[in-house]
Amino acid sequence: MATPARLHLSFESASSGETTLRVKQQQPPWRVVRGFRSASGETLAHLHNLSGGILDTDNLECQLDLASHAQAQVTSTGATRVYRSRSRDRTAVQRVSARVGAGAYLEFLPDQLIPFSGSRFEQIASVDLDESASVIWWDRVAPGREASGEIFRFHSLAVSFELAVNHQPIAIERWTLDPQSNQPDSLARLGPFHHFATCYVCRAGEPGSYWRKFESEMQSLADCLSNPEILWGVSSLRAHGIVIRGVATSGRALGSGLLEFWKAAKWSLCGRVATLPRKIH
Amino acid sequence: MRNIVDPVEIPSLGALLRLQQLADSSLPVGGAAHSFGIESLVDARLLSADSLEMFLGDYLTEAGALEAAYCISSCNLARDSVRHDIIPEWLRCNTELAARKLSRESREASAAMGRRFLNLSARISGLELLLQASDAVRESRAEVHLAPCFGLAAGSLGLDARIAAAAYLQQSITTLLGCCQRLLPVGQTRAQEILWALEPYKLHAVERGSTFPAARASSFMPLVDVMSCRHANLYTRLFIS
Repeated sequence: MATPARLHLSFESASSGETTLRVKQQQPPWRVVRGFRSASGETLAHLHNLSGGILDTDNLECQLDLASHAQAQVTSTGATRVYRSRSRDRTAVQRVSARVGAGAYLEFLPDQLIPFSGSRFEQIASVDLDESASVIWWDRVAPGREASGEIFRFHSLAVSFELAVNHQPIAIERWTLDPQSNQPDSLARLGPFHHFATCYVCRAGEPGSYWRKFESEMQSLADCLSNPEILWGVSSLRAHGIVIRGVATSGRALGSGLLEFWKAAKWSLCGRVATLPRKIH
Repeated sequence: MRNIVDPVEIPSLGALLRLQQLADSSLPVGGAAHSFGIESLVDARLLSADSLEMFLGDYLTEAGALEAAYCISSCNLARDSVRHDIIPEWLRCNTELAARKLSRESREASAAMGRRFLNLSARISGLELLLQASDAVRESRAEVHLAPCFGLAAGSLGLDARIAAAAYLQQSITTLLGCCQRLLPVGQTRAQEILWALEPYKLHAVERGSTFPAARASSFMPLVDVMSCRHANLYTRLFIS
């Protein structure tokens, strides 16, 4: 395993109420140019990968620290492409860890992950929230380069995600998709759908009744957005948040649905209008 | 599909009889009231009688292996005579499993069944560890789940962890198949054929569940999760989850 390439971003809250981005460590292929002020008040950072994608020898680490009351929006500059692995012992790894301080707010909205034919990839993410901290965090996965006829032609995709409040786990995902031995189109996995997404909306300290109401609101939206090509479901977590999950036959429908949930959830969670990251304008 | 190759401890006749009682799918813990999202899959016309066997096989590979892992770790914990923190560690294990169950209805179903199983097994067996666990759950109002509760009970009886996990999977898949019979045109004979054919999947799930610590067990079921989330909004429901 190669030495990790590290990116360490710190979002600090100034007395003016604005959030300042400090790039504490940045090693290739990671690149962050600067923080941008978003219309909804967060400081926006784009995560660039100068390689254009993830290579089979990559070992990437990204650490996000949000100080108390900092407001940050983090996104990628485009889809995360995972290139073909040249041998069995070459698995690319990306670790993202986020520490969200008291009263701080983080949006982590990367573009979709596209594992190319023959790729091997492990994605590990952990998020820890302090009291009253909030997060909206999504992940979208495509089956491959669909336009080239690549549908689940990768070797393996392993994902580990842990969301905790004061170090107590509230949501854990750990799965491995190995299309050659476990058929993705099984009804126990994805059935007729090829794309899937997960979005977590959390604020530490809100009671269960708050999230049941939130779940009900978002499920109404899920019902509106669902049709035979795309299905959405919403559920309260064991505490402090909800999860929104979607499966779809097309990535485009999944992406636009996620945006609708993000807008509605952000408005309900903090009364602010969701502003698309600048790259989309 | 490989079978278990390592030898397992053969339980005493008494322990085997007790295990059979606890693993009976008719044990009154509420299993027949929950479909864990399968009712929504049928309602959406995705799951049919023809695809049921394959679905349950893959269900065992994913959800079965995860539950088996937590059953095994709880069983091993109960058999660890050196540890002094069995109950706190077992409660932590339950908290971790609760965090892995993203769908509220399925999580609440598993918790309701776990609580009932623990109280019932503690009451009928009178085993000290189960009584302690039952008291700790009552006092802390902690959420406990069926697989770790089953593992704890089996471990308290001195049973091998893989035997416990296999019995647990047999119980849970038999109960689930019973639910499917109420949703789909599947007769008694066909149900028994399916249950018989699923044996390699159960053994594979036990093997996967015993390979890694429970925290590293993998399960990929996004469609079932989505359908479980959507279950509350079905127009007509036979099941609570």
